[in-house]
Amino acid sequence: MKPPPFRYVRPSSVDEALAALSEHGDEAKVIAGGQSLVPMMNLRLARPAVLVDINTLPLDDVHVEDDRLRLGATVRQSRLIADERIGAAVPLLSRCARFIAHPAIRTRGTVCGSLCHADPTAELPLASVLLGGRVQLSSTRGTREVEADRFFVGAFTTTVEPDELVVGVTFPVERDDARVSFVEISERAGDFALAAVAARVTLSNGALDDVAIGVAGGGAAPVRATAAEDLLAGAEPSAEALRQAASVAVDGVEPAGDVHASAGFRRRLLGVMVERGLQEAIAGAMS
Amino acid sequence: MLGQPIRRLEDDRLIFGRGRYLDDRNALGQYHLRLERSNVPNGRVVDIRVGEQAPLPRGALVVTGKDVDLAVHTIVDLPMAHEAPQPVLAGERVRFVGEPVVAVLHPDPYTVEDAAEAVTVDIEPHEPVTGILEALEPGSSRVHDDWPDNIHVRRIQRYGDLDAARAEANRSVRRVFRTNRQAGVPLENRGCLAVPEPDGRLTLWSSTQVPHLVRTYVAAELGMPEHSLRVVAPDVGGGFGVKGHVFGEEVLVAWLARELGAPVKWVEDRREHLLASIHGRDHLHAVEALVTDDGKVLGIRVQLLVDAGAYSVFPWSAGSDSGMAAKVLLGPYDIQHYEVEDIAVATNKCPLGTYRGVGRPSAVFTMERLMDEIGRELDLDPVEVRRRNVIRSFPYRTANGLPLDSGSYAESLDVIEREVDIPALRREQEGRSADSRAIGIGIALFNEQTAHGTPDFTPRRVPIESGYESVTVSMDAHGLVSVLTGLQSHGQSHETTFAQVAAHELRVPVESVRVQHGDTATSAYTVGTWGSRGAVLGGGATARAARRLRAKLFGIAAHELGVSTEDLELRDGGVGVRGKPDEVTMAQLGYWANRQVAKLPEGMEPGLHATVFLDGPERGTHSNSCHAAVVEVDRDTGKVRLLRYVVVEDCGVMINPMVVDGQVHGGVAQGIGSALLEESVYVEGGQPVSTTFMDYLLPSSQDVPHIEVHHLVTPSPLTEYGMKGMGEAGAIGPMAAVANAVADALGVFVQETPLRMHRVWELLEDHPPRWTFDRLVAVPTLAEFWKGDVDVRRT
Amino acid sequence: MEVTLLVNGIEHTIHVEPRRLLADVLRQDLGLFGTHLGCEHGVCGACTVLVDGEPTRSCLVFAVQMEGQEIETIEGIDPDDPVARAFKEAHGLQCGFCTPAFVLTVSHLLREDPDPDEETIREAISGNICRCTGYVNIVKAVRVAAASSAGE
Repeated sequence: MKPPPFRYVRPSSVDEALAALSEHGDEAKVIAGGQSLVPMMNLRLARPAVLVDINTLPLDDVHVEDDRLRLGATVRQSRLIADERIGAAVPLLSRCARFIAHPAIRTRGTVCGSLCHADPTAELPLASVLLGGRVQLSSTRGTREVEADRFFVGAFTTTVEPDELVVGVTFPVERDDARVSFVEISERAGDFALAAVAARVTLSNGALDDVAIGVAGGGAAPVRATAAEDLLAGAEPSAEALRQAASVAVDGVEPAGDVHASAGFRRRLLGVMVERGLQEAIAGAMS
Repeated sequence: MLGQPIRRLEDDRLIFGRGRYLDDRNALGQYHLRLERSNVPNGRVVDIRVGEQAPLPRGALVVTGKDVDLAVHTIVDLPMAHEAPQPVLAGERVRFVGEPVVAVLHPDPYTVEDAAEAVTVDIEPHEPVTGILEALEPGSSRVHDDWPDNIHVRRIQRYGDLDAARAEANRSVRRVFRTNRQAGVPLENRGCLAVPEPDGRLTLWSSTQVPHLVRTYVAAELGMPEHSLRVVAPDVGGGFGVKGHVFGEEVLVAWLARELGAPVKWVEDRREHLLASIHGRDHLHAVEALVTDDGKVLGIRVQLLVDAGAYSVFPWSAGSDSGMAAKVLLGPYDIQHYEVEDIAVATNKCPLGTYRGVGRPSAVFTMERLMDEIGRELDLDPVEVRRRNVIRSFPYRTANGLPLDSGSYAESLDVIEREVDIPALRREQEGRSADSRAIGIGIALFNEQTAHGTPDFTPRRVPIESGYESVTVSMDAHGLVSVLTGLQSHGQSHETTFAQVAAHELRVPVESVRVQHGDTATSAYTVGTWGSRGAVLGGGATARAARRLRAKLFGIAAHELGVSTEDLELRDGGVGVRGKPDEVTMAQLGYWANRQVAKLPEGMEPGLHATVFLDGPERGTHSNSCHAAVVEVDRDTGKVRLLRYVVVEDCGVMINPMVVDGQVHGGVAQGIGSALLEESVYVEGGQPVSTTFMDYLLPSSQDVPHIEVHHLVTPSPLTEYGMKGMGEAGAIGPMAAVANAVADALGVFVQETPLRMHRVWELLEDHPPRWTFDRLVAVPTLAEFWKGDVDVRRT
Repeated sequence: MEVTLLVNGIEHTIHVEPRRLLADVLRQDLGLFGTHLGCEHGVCGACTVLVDGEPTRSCLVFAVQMEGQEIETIEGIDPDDPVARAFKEAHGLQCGFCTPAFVLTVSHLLREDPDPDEETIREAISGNICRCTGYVNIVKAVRVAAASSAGE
């Protein structure tokens, strides 16, 4: 399974990269980690005429600024686990990274690459939607920022224009009193998830103060389970409350069935994950 | 040396990347072959055009079925069998998604894929035959237009007196069981390289388990004398029975090389492997047990259906899985009344071949699930119900005439009870009754027919006519021993185990014994490495050949030392007179025999060279195992986790216990894959969807628990050293053990494998079983077997 | 395109199409056949090499991307390497096809974590498929390697 031919461009600056994308438009694809793109090319399902390699561009910065953690476009997924600053600033990122594929994939795969690939059940798009991540895009026409919940428009589809390069993503630095969790269920560890949930809670006088629930596997893109969040705001974190919240969360999604799992089964799994995700976050908040 | 867990002689080159597998070999001027395959399950090839979707790269060649009229033809000499030869390139008809239609060649392996994209194949689709029962319906579409039905072969056998058993029994227990289709997936894909030699001969390198069979078939099909074709198996990265066939690709590559006068290389890719190599399992069994209230099974009536796909594989034939299941289903149990019908059904799917265990894993699944079901009905625990039925004294002749030579069936149950604290597990189960995580234990007890001799093959009437193996042992002019065999090793450690045997018989250092395998130029005829026979027959032949050498060495030494051969004994590196220091070294003996032949006794032939052809025991030798799986099932998600896996294995005398354990571990891991993960799925319309490793799931290090192996040793009275085969045993038990454990954990009826999460969820949601007696007997041709029964509707 | 690859400490300047995968270039252009191809879509791990010390699937990178990076293949492993010796000692291989990838992956694991427990080991090697051993003796090999390195 060998890939079809392409023209290889290795720009030595971001401006050069943007110029290349502007020139080739939708004939070009950016390659960073390549862990999603190259398998598709080997299977000849993806056939970009031009590959723009951004791996050597100075886009691997990690820093906190204005209460937001910024990760450059070529920051590897493995860094989410290895770099303590990231775990300290935005714990959910290092939590969810452990579920991504396998170590060798994480060594090369990038955070921004995963966002651009927009797999409906992937960990980082889900985390971004939960956290309120903001994607930074550049082109020869200028720069713009897109909130995560507007970035993912469908399965494997984002709002990135053909001439745009994602140069980085920012996340709000986590509150000290917030506790996060990430749970997912798949046939084997490291497989594409059948259902995944990210949750963040804060407790105030034993009641749930701030609740955020993100679900993936319920449709074409990860979403916030806002009805469930509303239900839990101010509530006691009882088992019954969590069960109700899970039920409401599942009502709000429309998963597609396939050979791995029917739509009904995916709903069931999502409900279980919502409950477990909340339980884990609440346990973290209580300890 | 025998029985020693010595470290392997082949490891140094393999660990450091100096193994040479098929794709590591290249020939100057070679063409790469890429096959365009049908994406339609059933249809007629209307047109083939080149250069329409993309330009054909310069230097590319295109060959179609019109250019080459060759096929893999498995002749089954039974009146009720239909012929299903598979053309190497499709002619007018295609019959499964993945069937090769067009051959494209180019010197570059990347460009050849571009060239394949330049070929357009128009296929007029016909209604595909996609279901094992649908295929048998009277109005069904046909896989082979000239057949009266969609049946490769069908047989009925009756033994004992089932009516008498029925009269004596207190109840009938009927169940239907299904082991779904899967692929074999050695880590190295298939591949072959044909190199025409300047003198007109041809060398065919192939990642194969059966080099001599490939040679015989390819030479015949190409109309060349066998001695003009050399087949060599290089290092092979796993076979598991998948590579124990002769494939159309091998025939085609050889033919193309001769036509072009240039080497031709074909390396399968993973998609092709999952689509179009061979598939395995895919059985549907309807079984009735006639049982007393004491739990004694008096008789079995069973209908075995196998979805054998579109073509008959070579040399085993499409009837191999169902035939074997019929033969061995009674397993380790004392049941003398047996009626069995086995039907190999044709569908528009990849041909079914012999994947590790062949028909045995599915037969054991049925028998062992049935035992648990009987226990459940009679309130007998799983160990007890088996105890009441096992064969305890040997030799034992099964209802269908299999002579079980020796075994430790009851003893293996004892070991399981000793190693697994079942009462404690039962207490834990009770404690967890409200828990979302249920635990359960499942057992699988079985025997395995191995090292089959010629009489086992003869009645099959397929192109595997004999069960012998051959080994040549020789000693050179320096006293160094070589072992040459066609028994190719693809993980079985023959380079070590056969060396151990030779070292044992000749008392030479094992590291000095060189084993060469898999090359038709340096070995006498063998049928190849499969069927759990390598150690028994290859090791056995090595032992006998080495003994012939020893006799000759003693003759030379006796002559030199002036004594009788009775006075001699083997010493480290030589032969000496018992009780005296007088001795001669192997190096001396080797030199005299090969070079300084004047030193030989009068009338003795020069040389030290012995070839032994060893046939297996008539109906093989039977090893036995008992597997126990402890599982945890998440009632909320359907996820099954293996907490413990225990194996009791009795394969008689072992050459190298470390190697045996390794084979058990690997087999169990594959069995766990079959039980929980691996499935080759075809959706509505006959399209296969398990075409990459994203969909076809293999067990990883986190899916396979630590595997505990305990050995019993019950020698075979029929073989050298008392060895029994065991290469497949690990893979035979897990589907049954794991399914029994899940059934035990959840208190539900488990019918199907693999127990993927969605299947477990269906069990938790009380979905009715997909397969029922009603469904089967609604098919007229299947109802006949169950005719005369009053209460057919009770499932 | 021209690219200079630094493989096992040796520089090779070669001319390859951009689409040539690193695995194919290592094997067919440089004759380093110890790196194997099992799936070509990044799942089985048989193609694993070390790039700048990190396990990397060589079927998922193009050779032209590797300019200036240090590549280590199984051919670069020292004959006395404790991990290699441990695989032999523990019978951690049968057909050998997955073995070079495991040796490199395990070497990396033990550099990061010299004494890993079974759970850590199984997680670290979960991206490498073996079809022959059932992983039991591979886990054992890691243990043996860890112990022998500790003893040195």
